[in-house]
Amino acid sequence: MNVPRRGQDVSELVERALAGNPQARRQIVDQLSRRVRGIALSILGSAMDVEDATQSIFLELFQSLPSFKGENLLPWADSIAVRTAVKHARNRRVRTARNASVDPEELTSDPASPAEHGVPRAVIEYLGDLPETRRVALVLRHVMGYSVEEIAELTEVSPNTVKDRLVQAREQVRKTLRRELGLLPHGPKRNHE
Amino acid sequence: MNDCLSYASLSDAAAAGEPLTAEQRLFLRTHPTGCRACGAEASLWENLEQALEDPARLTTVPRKLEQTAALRSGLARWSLGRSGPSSRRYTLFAAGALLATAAAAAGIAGQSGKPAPRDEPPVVTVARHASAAAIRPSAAVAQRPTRDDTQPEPSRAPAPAGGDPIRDNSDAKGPRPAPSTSAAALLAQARGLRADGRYQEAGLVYQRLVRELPRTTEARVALVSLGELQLSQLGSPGAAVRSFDAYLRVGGPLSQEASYGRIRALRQLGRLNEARAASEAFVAAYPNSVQAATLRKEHP
Repeated sequence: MNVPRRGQDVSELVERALAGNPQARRQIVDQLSRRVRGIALSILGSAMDVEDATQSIFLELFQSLPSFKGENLLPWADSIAVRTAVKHARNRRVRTARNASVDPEELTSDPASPAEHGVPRAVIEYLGDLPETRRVALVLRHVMGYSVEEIAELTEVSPNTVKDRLVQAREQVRKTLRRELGLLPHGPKRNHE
Repeated sequence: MNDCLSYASLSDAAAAGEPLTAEQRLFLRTHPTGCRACGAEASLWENLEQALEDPARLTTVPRKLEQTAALRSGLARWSLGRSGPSSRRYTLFAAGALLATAAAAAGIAGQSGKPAPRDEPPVVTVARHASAAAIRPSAAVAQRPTRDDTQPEPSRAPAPAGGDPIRDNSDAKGPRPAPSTSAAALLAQARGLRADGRYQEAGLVYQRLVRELPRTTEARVALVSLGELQLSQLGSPGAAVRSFDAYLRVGGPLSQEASYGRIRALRQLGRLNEARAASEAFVAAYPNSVQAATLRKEHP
């Protein structure tokens, strides 16, 4: 598959896609598909809603294509994918909270998932254990590499709230890991360890 | 202060964007190599940080976490099987052997990983992919008329075999939409119904969208969603195959999902030869996808 490397190649590809060339559109989709799905999966925390979110992302991408200016599709697509996935996660949280009458800040993507397995799990499962707000903060920080201020802007909260969510998310993952590994909790060193 | 507590505190501070001294950054790099618990945690953060370039990192167990769990499991087995002073010596010997093996494996694994950055804490290796300006909602996204360049001319689309996804469930009639109902609104409505667990109603709205606004991008997307709904929630694998086929006749950004859904629907229908052929075609077309890895395991 030809992946445009230079700015001119990207501009030509975008122009052809805007002109309705199906091969050009397919090339853009193929180039971005894996990455977009990865972003959606990490932010949503479960495979269940990834399809819907991916659809929304590609719809948004092609609607935004006329405003693309740059030499690299990836950063542009990343920002749209993140915004759309975060919005998707927020809408899901509100819908679920409305149906369940619980605090949306405390919802996890899969409330039934057990926290203790005794065997290691895939990374996405640890993310899925987290409440939505904490997971989004964690993913935007560790996966996307956004700064605390950028996350605050994206999620429409204060930077201090972002920091709190990050620390709480990491602490929750840490405790779950240690419990699953059967390791002693944090504390003074013990002689028999 | 306990070293693990220090590691947790410093790595959280780094993740929150707090500045660290050179000594603290060095501690963050070196402590996980000698601590099982913190090493397992560090491997999980590392997987996350590499997930953008390699999404498979999300769906795998971090290697060091696996090794640590195996080590713990081995220790538990030895200690449960024996008792008394001689068994304690044996247990210690076995534990030492396991630790040595795990440490060697971790050392090898560590060498193959990416080098720790000099000027940033290793737990947050920031690979920037967007500027702050880029993440602001774009005011320039105009409401453009939806391009329907992926839509086939009606005369070229062959009649779907075995029925029409648009006419399925037609005996369950729903209200006709107002003429001004947009494709986007219908798609959003269908998704909301689906999220609320009202699958039958969601299916009707998807079908209405496909039937009444066939040239829109939303209708194309709805075919895949409808297929998934028919397959997973409505128990209609035959209808699901027709929906996926309708999408795949033209293709588009969701061809991968539609193809994979079609394979699952064929299996449910017992059309195993067709499912196998479709699986082989899928793996050839999308060799690096997560679904291809699953299909290869099922049919080595």
